[in-house]
Amino acid sequence: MSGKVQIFLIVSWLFLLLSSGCKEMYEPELEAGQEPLVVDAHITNLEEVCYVKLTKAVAYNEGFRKIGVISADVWLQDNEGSEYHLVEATSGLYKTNPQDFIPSMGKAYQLHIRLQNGETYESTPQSLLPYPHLDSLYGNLLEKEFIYKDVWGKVVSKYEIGASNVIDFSSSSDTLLQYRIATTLLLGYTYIDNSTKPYPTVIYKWKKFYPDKTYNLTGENTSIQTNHLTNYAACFFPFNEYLYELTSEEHSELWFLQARVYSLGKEAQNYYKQVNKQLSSSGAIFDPISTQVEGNMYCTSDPELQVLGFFDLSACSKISRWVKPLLSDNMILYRPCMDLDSIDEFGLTIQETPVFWKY
Amino acid sequence: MSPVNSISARKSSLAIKLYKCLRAIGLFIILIYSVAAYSQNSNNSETQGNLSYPEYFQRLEKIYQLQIFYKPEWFNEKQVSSALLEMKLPDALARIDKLAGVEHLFIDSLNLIFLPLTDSPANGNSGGADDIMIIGNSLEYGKYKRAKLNGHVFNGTTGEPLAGVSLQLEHSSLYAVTDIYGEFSLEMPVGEYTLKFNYIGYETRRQKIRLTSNGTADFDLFEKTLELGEVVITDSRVDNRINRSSLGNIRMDSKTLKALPTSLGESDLMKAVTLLPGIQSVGEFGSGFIVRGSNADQNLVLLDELPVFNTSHLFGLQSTINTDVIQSVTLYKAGIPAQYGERTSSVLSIKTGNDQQVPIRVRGGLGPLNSRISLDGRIFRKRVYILLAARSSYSNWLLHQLPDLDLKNSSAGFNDFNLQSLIPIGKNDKLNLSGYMSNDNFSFNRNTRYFYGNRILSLRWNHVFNKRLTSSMTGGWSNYLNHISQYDSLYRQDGKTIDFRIDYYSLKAALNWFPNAYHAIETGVNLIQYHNQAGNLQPYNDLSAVIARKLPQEQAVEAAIYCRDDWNPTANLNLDFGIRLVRYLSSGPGIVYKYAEGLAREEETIIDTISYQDKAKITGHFAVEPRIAIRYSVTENSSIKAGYSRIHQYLSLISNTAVMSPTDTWKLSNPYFDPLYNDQYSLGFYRSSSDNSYESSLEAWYKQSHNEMDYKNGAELFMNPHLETEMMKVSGYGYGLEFYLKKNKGKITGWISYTYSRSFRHTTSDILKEQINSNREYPSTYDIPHNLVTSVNYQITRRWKASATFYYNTGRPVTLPELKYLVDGNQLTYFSARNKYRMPDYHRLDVSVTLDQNLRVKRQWKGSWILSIINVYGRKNAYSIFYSREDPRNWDFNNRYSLYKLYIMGIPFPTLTYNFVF
Repeated sequence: MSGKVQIFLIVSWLFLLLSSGCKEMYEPELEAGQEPLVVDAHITNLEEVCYVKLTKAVAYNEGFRKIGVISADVWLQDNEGSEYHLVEATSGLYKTNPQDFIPSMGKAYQLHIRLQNGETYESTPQSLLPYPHLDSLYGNLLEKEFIYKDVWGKVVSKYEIGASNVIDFSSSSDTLLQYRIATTLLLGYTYIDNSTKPYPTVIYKWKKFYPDKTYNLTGENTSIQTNHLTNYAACFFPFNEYLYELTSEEHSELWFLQARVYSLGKEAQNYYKQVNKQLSSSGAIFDPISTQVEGNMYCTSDPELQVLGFFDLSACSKISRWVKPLLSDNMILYRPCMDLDSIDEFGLTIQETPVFWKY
Repeated sequence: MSPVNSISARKSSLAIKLYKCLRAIGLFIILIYSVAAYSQNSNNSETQGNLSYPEYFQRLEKIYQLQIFYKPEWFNEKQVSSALLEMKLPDALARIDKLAGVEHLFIDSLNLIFLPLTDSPANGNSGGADDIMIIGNSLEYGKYKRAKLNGHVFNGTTGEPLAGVSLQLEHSSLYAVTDIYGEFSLEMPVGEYTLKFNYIGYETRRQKIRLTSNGTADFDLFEKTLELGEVVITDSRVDNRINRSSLGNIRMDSKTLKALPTSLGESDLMKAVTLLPGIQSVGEFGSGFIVRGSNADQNLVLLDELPVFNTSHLFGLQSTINTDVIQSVTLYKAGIPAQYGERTSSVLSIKTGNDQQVPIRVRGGLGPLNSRISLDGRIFRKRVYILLAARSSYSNWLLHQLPDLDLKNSSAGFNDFNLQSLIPIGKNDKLNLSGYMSNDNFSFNRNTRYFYGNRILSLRWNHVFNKRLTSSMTGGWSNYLNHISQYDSLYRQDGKTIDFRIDYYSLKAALNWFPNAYHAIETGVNLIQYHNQAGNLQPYNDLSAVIARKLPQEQAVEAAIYCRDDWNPTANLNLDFGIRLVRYLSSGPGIVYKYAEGLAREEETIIDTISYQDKAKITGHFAVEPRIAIRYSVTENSSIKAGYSRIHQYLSLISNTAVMSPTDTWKLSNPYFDPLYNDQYSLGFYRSSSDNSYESSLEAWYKQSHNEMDYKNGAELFMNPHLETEMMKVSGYGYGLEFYLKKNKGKITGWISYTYSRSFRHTTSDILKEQINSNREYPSTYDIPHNLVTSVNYQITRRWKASATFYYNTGRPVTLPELKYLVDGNQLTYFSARNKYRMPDYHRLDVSVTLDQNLRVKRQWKGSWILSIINVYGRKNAYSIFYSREDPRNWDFNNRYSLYKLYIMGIPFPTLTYNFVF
């Protein structure tokens, strides 16, 4: 047997060994008792409508139900006893009125819920911490190896050019705070409809993406011990249109990025870390065992009753930028732009550029 | 932050206490020596009576530190007077020869063989004697009347010299016996003769020779069957499972180990161990093993008396111990003798090297994952034995050639090295120097790299005072370290390196005293010093925002004295009892946090921080560990055994991963981590057939563990300076029944091993946050009720052998999601009570075919091929069950999560390995 043949056999064997090990969907028979209430509440200090969403957990093997918990009485109470009631905007979604309620720094708030069946719930008190000062959002071009499925569904690896975005921010707080950074990417693209004769029609489209796979927490790495963070990685996004599921007739035109930075209390920090552990679990051999996410809501009418979710009260600052890659100069231009929160998740205009399309 | 108190001068010095401790131990040794010396001069008054030959040989072995080999049928029902025990050994042996019609041969000072005076039917096979071998110078034929024939006798299969081979000139009274180097010398008249070679377990060989003048000739003998011959000798020894008092004690020599079914083309120690009753693997190719439902860190793996902290290469694909260097392995899973402590569940003692090997021998193997080579033999006029061995993988290079992206972006490799030297100093002293090093590295992607390795160095000095008193002293160092570096160009601020390291220094002294035929007493001291660096975090480079942080190094001393007596009060009864006294002291520098009474231990409930200066005592503990094992021989072939032991453990592995991983860290006992201890009770029945063709055993056990630690949900263990906030104290118990049936002889050999065992735990805290499953009992992670292993070997011809092994066990307990819900656009799950569910049952069939080496006598290079197929029917056994995004690496915006089963092997795996020796 020649040397080449031997090596081929060994390589083939190793390939078989290592690539045959794999994961497959597992559907065991599971017991599920009660379907506990799920609270998804995010209140910030910004002048914006905030929501508290009430739903029910479902058995693991079942599909999600689209109906929330309706007709509940939901209110916030501060440590001075003042109450701020939320109104039901749609099925299970309760909203604040920014004219009536914006939390104040230094005050503690509790979320109270009373369901139609008389069950009552409340959160642990959450204090509003000092909000972070955002200095700048900037970045540079970076080529990064990406793993994704190609058009044939095969997992492939390619180096993609994209924007590596970083942020500088700080806090005036005397104590060390931890932060959560959330980013929103808005892609503006065009489609030329040649069927409209004699002149083709330009259709302006946009849609939002959320590049963060898990929560970006400064405290995830417990070794960062400063309230003045510079050059902190916010997110990376590639410029390849294919990765945003555009059709071959659609072409990217504009990129907008918004970063929100939240100051987190200890409970919120722990909660998001636990969520991250669950979300980032990949089953690798050295991964920690399954993580139960502990929230901060309790049932006051029946302490035995389970309740899931979290009441998050955070001081927040945000910054939005138009991001223009200058590939020939090997740099990216960042310019102020309209607040992305005021733009719908997706939409289009015909022949007329959208209002935010200006820079 | 809490106020800081400083405790320094006020604390009594640890050094002074250590000095006192050492002084007490020194006095104890002197006392024992004095008793020993006195006892040598005293007259023994022993009970007079008759003994069976096996019992008599057993006592001879204890008195003279011998190993005696014989076939029981040569002695049948005969008995011998115990008065022979008082005779001088040569006189006693001569008497035995006469009484039983046998002859004895000393292979060396430690090994004695009995042979029948006449050929037994088993030895009656004739070797080929047609070819005449001319020895000496033919031209000188007739010049001399007498001439001397010098030569060697070797094992024709392995090339090892055979000691104790009897050479006889047929129809003559002239004979010779080979010495420990396989050498012989025989003077005879010149002429033609037939030389007859006899050796137990080997085919009798007749060789025609024509001796013309002084000359040399070497001869090869072959085992009757290549593997079984070795087993016959091992099992015919007095020291077998029936007659040993200790329970759960399994011994294997290197050949027995190599005769076991192979894994990935070569024999593997850890996998061989998991074939035995009561022992399971932590998972398919998992690192470590589980003994009777206890955690893997409760097993003490000793390599030449020093602990090995990590026993697996490549996530458990192979064990870190190269089987080529193993001389013998002894596993204690119950009735652990008093000289062992430190870990509560089992002791696996590995001895390396084979100082019977005289000519320099080179062995090696070419496998699909790695290659290995070893060299051993005697140097310096055959006085000093030396062993050098190395293994190295080439999986790293291969991984990079593969088209699969996951594999291409990964790297994995290992190597290990063994060194041993046995140096005799005078007649009564011997030095044994042993060294070991292993290195592993791997990365799953290019951002995170892992490196870990063991380092072990030991020096043992054996001294023989006289035939009744021997001593040994061992000093050594064992180290385990792992290094992780993380750097992602996208998240430069997070780049960091993390180092963990544990150093273990040990000094052991032991005295073995055999005052008479009924007692074998061992006493000694063990001193251990631990240095544990549980975490050192450093920024990866200047761009990193990571702040350097180092957890305080933990330091502790564990000192133990022990005494053990192996006593035969009657012919049928044996008592092995002992006691071990252990003193543990942990010392500064260190920090201990104080928590508010009645509240859960959390960072928020810290009310005080106590800082200890260097060598100040932090915590101390004293333990008494009684050990007893009783054996009652019901008949010559059956016995009942019972035992009890208590063992304390001061060092635990902190692991929150699905399986024990090499990146886990160790933790020493402190005010919050009380020493783990367990009590184990065992009862067993053992039986073998009269010719040892079959042996069987049934063992029942019950054990209680105290002060074990379990993890809070989502415990944060990484670089945590107050681990007690993430862990809870739990109590546990387990019980089980183990059945073992083995067939030793014939063309078909093998065994069936079945274990039923349970293992439960529960918390006892009144504080809600420190409870698991509301203090209700829950199965431990290693609660595996049913475990079955069957293994069959079929010797097809002398060179061809086939074997098959089938494994079955109940799936391990696991915590699974019962509910799912949406929060902030993410699908989260709510998990069941701890370990409420089980993974699917595990079963697998492996087969292998071996073409053994060519048996031609003069062939220098001898090789063998092993073709094995692992997982013949391609079962996808679960390695772990986990909840995960469809593919978290992909750049897409789906948030689909599912429950997955991870399996290591999903198809049958053929492997072909070539092993060689020259």
